[in-house]
Amino acid sequence: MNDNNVFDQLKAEISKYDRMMLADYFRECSQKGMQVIAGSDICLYEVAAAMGLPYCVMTTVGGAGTQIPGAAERIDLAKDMEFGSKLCTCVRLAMYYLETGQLPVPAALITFNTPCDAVTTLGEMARNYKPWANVPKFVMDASYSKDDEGMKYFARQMKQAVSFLEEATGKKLDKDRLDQVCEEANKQCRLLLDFQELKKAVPCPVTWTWARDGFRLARWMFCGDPWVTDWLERLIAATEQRVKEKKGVDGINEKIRYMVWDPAMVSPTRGDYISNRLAKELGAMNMMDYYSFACWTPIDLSSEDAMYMSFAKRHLNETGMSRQAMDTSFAFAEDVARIARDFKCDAIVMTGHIGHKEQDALHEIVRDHCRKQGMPLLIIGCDIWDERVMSLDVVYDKIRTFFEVSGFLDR
Amino acid sequence: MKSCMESQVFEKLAKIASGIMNPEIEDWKKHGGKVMGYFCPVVPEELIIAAGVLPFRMRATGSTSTSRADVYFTDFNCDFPRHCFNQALLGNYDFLDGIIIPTCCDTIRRLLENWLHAGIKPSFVYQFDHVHASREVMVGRERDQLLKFKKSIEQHFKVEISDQSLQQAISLCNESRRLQQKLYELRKMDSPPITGSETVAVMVASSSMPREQYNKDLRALLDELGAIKSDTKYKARLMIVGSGHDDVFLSGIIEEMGAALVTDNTCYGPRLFVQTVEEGGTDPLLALAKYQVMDTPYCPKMMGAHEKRLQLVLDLARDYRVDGIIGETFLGCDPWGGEVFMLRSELKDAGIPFISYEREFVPSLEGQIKTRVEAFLEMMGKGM
Amino acid sequence: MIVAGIDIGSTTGKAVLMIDDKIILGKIITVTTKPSITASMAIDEAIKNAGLSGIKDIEYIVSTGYGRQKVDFANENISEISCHGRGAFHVLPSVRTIIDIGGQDCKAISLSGKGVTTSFEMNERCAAGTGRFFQVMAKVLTCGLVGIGSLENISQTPASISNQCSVFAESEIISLVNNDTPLPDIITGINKAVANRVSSLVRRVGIADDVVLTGGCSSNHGLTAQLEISLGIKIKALPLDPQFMGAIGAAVFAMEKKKAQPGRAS
Repeated sequence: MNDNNVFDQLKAEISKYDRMMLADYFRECSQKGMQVIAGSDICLYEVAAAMGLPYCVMTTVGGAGTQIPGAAERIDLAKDMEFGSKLCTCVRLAMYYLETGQLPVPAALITFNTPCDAVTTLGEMARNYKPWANVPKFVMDASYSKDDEGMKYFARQMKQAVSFLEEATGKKLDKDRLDQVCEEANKQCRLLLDFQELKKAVPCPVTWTWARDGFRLARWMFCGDPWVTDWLERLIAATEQRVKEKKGVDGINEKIRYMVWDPAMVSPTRGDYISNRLAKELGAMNMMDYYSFACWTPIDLSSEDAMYMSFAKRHLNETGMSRQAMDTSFAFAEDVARIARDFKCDAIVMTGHIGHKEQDALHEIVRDHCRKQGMPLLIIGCDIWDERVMSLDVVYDKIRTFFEVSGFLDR
Repeated sequence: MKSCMESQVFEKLAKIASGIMNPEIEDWKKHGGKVMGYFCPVVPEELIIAAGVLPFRMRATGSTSTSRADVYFTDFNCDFPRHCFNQALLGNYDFLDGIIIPTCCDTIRRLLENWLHAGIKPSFVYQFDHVHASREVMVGRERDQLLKFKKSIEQHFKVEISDQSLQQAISLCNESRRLQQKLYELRKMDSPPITGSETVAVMVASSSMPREQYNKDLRALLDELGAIKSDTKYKARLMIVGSGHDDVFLSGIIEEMGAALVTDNTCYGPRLFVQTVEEGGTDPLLALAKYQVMDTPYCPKMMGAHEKRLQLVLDLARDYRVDGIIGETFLGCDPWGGEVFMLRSELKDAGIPFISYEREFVPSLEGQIKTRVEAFLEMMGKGM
Repeated sequence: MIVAGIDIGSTTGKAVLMIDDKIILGKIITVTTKPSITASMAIDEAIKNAGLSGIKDIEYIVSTGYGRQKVDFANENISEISCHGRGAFHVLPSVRTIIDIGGQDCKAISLSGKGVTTSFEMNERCAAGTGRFFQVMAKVLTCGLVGIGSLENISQTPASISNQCSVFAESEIISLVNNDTPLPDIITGINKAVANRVSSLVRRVGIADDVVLTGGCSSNHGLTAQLEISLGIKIKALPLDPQFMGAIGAAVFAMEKKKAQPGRAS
């Protein structure tokens, strides 16, 4: 049965929301009189959703800016502003948007030290940005210790952040509404985990982008919104059917399964070129990147304290880059090798993005762990945000070479 | 600016600053003393001293290669920790009995894991997960983390750090701070008796030798400096703002161009001594926590403290009658990249001439730095 | 049976014929703008050396290297990682670690006892640690590339060249020349800088004897000496020109592929 029209329909329903990560969108919200919250990292989505506040995550806006036409020119303009030669391109662009006044003056600003130095610096620049001098500001400090105490420390600050947001916006957080959002978010969390299980089937029934879209919708754009729950249910139904029919992605003869452990490289001009080419030419399925890997635990609604602990864990432990950046290299290495095995992956590809210092500092530990686990690993060192650093074709060639050396092309 | 000093005490301190191992440490170890390495002033030396252990602030003086360290890092990581790690991989830090690695920046933080993975000495490696935001509510958290740190040292070295010993250590370090303040005060003079690069040597020595001896030597040096009638000439009074400027050579290059480095806001400068730790209270650990979180201007990795640092820069520029400021960033240091970006417009608003450059740990771009400084002096009308 | 291996690198092209067990090397030629043309020229040299009449005598061709996918007359293409590994192992079965420093990249390859690649690392993004670095330096110094590799220019007191970027290192070299630093000291410093850079790469794959050096920089005695110092090992000489290891490996693969073809009498 040709089910492509089902998947096409699902894609069509959400494609218009891509722009919700762009600077333009948040300016429009502000122009419409909405109170936009600005943050340096992804956090407190549940609260923002319950309070009906658009949440402009500056880092995400920067990253989105690298994946739309005009990216190269934007990046060069950002470089001219001299934020630092070896800065992450994604954050560089976020700083550019900030310093050129392309982000709306927010109703409130929340900044963090997660996930990395670059985003911390972005937060500091936003705190000291003169046009935002009168914006109420709140800073949150995340512990690098993942123990109970560390989580409680962050959870306490999240509660304080809510009081801060109420005061800054004049809006009271309706606790019932928050419960509602969290219950729906938990349903969505469950669905994403179920969807993820389906992806373990051989052949993999869907491309990696679906889980990424699901993550974006459920965590960022429409946290706790029932229409996302419905969308996920339909996605799962269609995927389940494929699994029953042992059907892979149309036109792909799956021979290799790999995962990209970093955000996947999406070109502003050629889109998902690398994953697509590897799939078509080599039958290599990109199983996921780390924003399309669901590892969340449901929000514990048994008490307010338990709820905020869940929020803390979702931020620090369960969001791709925070999970990597804030935890130890050993945990990260074990994580990635385990996930690769669970999804029956043949290999792991760490694309890398230049300027991500703490990731650069864990390569050897991951390399060693994967070697001991017998899991082939390729570390490329390109820049997923700027394809001029290493062209898509060169990246493709490196992955192809890696598959060849690992003996996968003989299958 | 040329040196006008001939001092045996200074020569001793300069020698200590010029390498990693030195006679003071050798003597300390010979008498059974323990040494603990640490990165960054966010680690309170007082706790280590109170344990009877000598704190040694990690440096990579003399390192020329990161070849071994680059198995673990890439060239996008700041090369200061890479050089330090390289020295450790070569065995040059085998004399340490422990090392504290704070969560102060991404690259330094990851040193802990790579250190453990490499299996090198010292084997006692402690990650100090300190507070990163300057907010009163977080002082309690910082105290908790300091308590954990204290217990770890006590357990490893089988000592007890009493409140009394901690108070004494705080007093000792505060004494260093006051002496260093006096040292810097001398540079307010029209003709400072000590150059910028000489001051770097004196400051670096403080965290490379037993503190009591350092204080004694610094007192003696201050006496000598007080007696010098200097009439050194220079073209302009400059200040450096940046991170770990432990580089005597680099300061020397700048002064060779005719500038006098009269003050700074670096990790070896006034940030370490403009405030002292509160003494005489009942909870010295709390006093240390408050100092770290609220009092010291710290570095850009401490969120919410930029205004404090800016104010310090402006105060120093005024008090030391600075003609211009140089912003120095290590290549790959994101926090300082952002800080220098902000300073560029803030100092312009304040009417203070400012230039900046990015450098590697080994200052290979000597020619470029000289050209920049020369051009800066000319730009300020002080070139001829 | 006659097969061929062609290695189209970023700066040179090489071809090798394998006639049963015998290996016949071609000549190293400078690349042209089209990989197919370079490949044709390279294989013509090998054909000439073998005394064959033409390409029609060759039963299977494997191409490798940077331009491998554009050699339209090759039966298939295989990565330079696999080919370097196979080629070196074929001529020296005791090899376990290969350091390849080419015109624009450098690689470290680790082999098993059966000559299979178990891991590899390639340099990231920049020219430091590659032949390009030497070319930039050779322009500044009067001795040229040959001088940089010469035994006469090995010094016990290498100048310190700390810049990892070849663009900025060039400025450092100019300063050294202007300060009358002896040429052997500068050249040894350059070789040391490259060796240090490459050593990090090698340590990532792990070092196991025998270690060999392949690629265009393999004739640089100074570089070899500095690699030995940096890694604490002895580099073993290959019995055939190290620059041909990729092409040899491609030819070995060609032989295997041809023999494995159905209908082929064993």
